[in-house]
Amino acid sequence: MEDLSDDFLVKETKQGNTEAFAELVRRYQRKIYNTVLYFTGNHHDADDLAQETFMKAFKFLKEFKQKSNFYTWIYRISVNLSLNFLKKKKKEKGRVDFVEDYSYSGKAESSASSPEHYSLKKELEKKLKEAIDSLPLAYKASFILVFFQGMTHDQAARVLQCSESTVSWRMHKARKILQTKLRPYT
Amino acid sequence: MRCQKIEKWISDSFDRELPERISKKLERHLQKCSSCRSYRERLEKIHAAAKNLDYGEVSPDYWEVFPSKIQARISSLEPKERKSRIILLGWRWAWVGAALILAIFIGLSILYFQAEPDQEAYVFSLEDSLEQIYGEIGDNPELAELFNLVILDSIAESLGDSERDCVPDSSDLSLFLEGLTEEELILLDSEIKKEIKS
Repeated sequence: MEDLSDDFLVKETKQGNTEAFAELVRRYQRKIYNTVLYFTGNHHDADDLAQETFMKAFKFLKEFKQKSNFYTWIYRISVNLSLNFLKKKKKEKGRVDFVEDYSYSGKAESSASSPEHYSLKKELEKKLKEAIDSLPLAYKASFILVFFQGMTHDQAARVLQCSESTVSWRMHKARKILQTKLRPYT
Repeated sequence: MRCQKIEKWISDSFDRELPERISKKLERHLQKCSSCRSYRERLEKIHAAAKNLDYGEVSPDYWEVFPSKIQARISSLEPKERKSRIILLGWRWAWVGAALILAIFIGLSILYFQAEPDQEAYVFSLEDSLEQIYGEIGDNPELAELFNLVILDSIAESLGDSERDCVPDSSDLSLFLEGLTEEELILLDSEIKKEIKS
């Protein structure tokens, strides 16, 4: 199964082979999970959205014409679900505030050379998360795909169904916003 | 103004999307522009901090279990889908039944309402004068047309073949009725009574 192409596994799934779909899940579970985690900021919602992404992919696989590759298609599903999730949350809360849900790693602690340095780094991390969280959704989606997921502008454009230059512009604007908000900490 | 363009180039260069030719231009600009250099440095710090952001690790077991969670949801989905198809099929038959009942009801209603105006027209003629009848018919053209046809048929039936040609078209009926004598009106009334009996 591991040697088989995505296209083949998609065709197999369409013919009712659920084991082929399980292989697709194994292949993309981490990437999809991490993507939705950057959107939601907490594992509980990331788990729900990752599962929802694969369930939606399974349900609509028959309508997937394979004009794009499976990787792009499933990313698109996950981004759309995440954006809808955030919009819904914003409506419910008035303002999305996931900063409290973020769990902080020991990375900052281990690399800190002094209590002051640690404190500054932690403050920057907190403010950075707040700043990323406050980005307009379109900028945020581009930033997550390009910066955190390492996609090229072309790949992100395919997922977001916009032009490469739009992604490029959104990245520039996202960086401008981040550097303005984090100016006291950089 | 020019530095705004440079900031965009800096952003593209971080994403490795800047063509080499422009990349060289950018480097040349940065050598002489401290403002753009500091912009890039600030972004580098932000990038470094963002790369170190941690959202907490997921246990390795999670990835082992995740595909089976999806599989379980898929297998639980299939019978439901089948069930929903059956329900839909059931509802489809219910819709057919409802449509049939509705069709029967409409059919009966049409038959009832078609018969009803005829009777009403005759009743008017028996109970009231022609003026009253016209008052009842009012602006209803269908009722008026029906009433006129009945009268014309009655008159034509009572006349001989040679005289039938004198019976006017229904469109001229109001003029025709206004010109009737009292005897002719009695004759008309008796003809209508005959129609009702038949």
